[in-house]
Amino acid sequence: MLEHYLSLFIKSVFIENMALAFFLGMCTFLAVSKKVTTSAGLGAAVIMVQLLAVPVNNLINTYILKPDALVAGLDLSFLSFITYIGVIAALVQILEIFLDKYVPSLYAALGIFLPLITVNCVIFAGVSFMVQREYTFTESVVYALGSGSSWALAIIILAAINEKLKYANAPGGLRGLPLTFITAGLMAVAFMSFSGIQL
Amino acid sequence: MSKLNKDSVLGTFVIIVTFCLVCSVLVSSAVVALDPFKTAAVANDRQVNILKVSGFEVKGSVAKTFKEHIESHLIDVETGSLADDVVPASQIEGYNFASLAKKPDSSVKIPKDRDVAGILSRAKYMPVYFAKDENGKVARVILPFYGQALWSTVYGYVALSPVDANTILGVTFYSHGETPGLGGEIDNPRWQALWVDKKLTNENGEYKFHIVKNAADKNHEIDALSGATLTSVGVDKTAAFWLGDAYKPFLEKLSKGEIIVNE
Amino acid sequence: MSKGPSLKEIFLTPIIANNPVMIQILGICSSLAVTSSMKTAFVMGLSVTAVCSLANLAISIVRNYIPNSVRIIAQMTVIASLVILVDQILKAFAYDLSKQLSVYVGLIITNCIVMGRTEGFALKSAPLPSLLDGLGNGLGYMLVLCVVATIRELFGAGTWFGMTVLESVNNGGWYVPCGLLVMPPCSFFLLGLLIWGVKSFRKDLQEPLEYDTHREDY
Repeated sequence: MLEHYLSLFIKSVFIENMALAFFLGMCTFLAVSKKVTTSAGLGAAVIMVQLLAVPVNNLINTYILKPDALVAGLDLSFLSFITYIGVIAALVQILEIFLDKYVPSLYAALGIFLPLITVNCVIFAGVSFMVQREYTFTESVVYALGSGSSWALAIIILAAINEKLKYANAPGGLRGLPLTFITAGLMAVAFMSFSGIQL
Repeated sequence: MSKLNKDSVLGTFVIIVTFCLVCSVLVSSAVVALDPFKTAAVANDRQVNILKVSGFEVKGSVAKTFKEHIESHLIDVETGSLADDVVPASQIEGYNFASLAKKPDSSVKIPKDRDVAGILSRAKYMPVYFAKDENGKVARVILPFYGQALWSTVYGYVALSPVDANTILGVTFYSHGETPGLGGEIDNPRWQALWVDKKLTNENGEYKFHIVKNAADKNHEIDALSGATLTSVGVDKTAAFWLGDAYKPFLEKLSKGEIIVNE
Repeated sequence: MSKGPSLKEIFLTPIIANNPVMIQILGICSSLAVTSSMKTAFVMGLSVTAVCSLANLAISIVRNYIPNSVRIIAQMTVIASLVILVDQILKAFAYDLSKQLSVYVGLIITNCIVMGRTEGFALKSAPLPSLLDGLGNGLGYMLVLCVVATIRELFGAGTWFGMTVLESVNNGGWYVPCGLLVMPPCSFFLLGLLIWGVKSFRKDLQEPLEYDTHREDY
């Protein structure tokens, strides 16, 4: 049993990396990956939100939205999208308030990025995949940890590379975003080497 | 309404509730109106794929051809016997074995040493489809099978001869996420044609059908896809699990003539 | 009162001059993911255009009634409802494609283009300009998607919209498809090269060097 969860975790961090294999969370991924410290903070925030959003939505899906979940014969799954995004927005808001009150240093460090996570594709896609693959509650917790960490890992690595690339004398048109794209592409190719790992 | 301040608490509340009501009505009516189309689309998709291995061309509408030629049955995988009375007749054709394999009361766990396809558990009952010709004689028996390949779970149908329950007459894969151009070539009809007329077991009843590099045994082996070793291995193990292990009781009963009575 | 941009300008600018993907750098996630074949890219482009224009229209019509405190949530509700509609239509009439697009249709909700345009334009403008703005941005997005998808499908598989153009070796032809193009990382490379091309023409958009190693007066 533990093997199954470990295998799921490793798969979601390396092989099905949210940023490099599925291209999720790209907007923030490209915009914020200039410094390792900010990226690490954002990555941590994403992991936190993911760990909250995916299991909660799993429960909502199992007990309210699935066919025959609430009342026999009632299929509310068409409300999935709007429910998930509403739950995610609410969770981010609650997390913001909680951090502001109890961990103000972290709140200050994350700054504007916390509310931006609401529209981060990673969270919504994490929930969508969890529903599509019909994970159990424990599986969804493991998957949340794994997928959040995968995105955090990718952005920290990209930030580290970008910090070095700052000193490179790139041609005018290539500076900044295009170079970041190509770097990310090479990282994606590197991560493809993890496929075929079976635990 | 003009006196209602939109930024006051009451105003916000009223407006948001109106918003939600309007959106809900729109979405719900669309869903209800589209429901018959969606069920038809799902059924159509499944029927098209089953017909691909049935050996019968689609004449006119898919649904009509399917009704004319394909008979759906449910089997108890453990015993290999027909079990059509487990669910209402209308639910047999679209029996969602993939989803039911994850629910504890409708599935059975596969012991680790036998789980070569990597699916952990399988449904207790599986749908099988008999392809009948114009005279009502069963020409092919179509079995669904699925398992882990490289990037995804590969789902397919394999058609066997009802006479010896041993000769493969066709195969198709209807869902997978393998690399296009490499593992994705399992969709290539030229590779699928290699499966035809291969036998699953030899005279002693040993399972011999394999997908290998440089196939030697003309009766039992086929060439793997070049550049797609892991996908080929995955498909090979999937076939080995279902056709050599899970469906074995059913195939034995089929070859003895206990399942179909063909005049 | 100065004359704002004409309706024609509002519609045409986002298609190339202010393209949402290449210039505004929005909506990247799906541009990368669904461009491995023309069919998926085209359908995705149509879906985003539909959602963007209709969302813009709807938000613009009710813009004077949306309370400030729940602005974002109200926009999200409208966008999410439209995406659900599009998803249901796809499931009913293009089941195959909806399976291939899987979660990316739902991701239109978080697509920065849609939210960006409703927040940045529709909230302040009349319905007709908003509709045109949404259409323009959607079409600009679709243009980029189709260009990338054409390159990837044509050279990666030898087909275009599923029709064989270059007969591949596996099917008895002569063309050895470039496998890298159909793999996910390639879209990163293609988009990077595309933006490089655009920025070479639009020098005003280039980023300045942070450390100019040629300067001597540091």
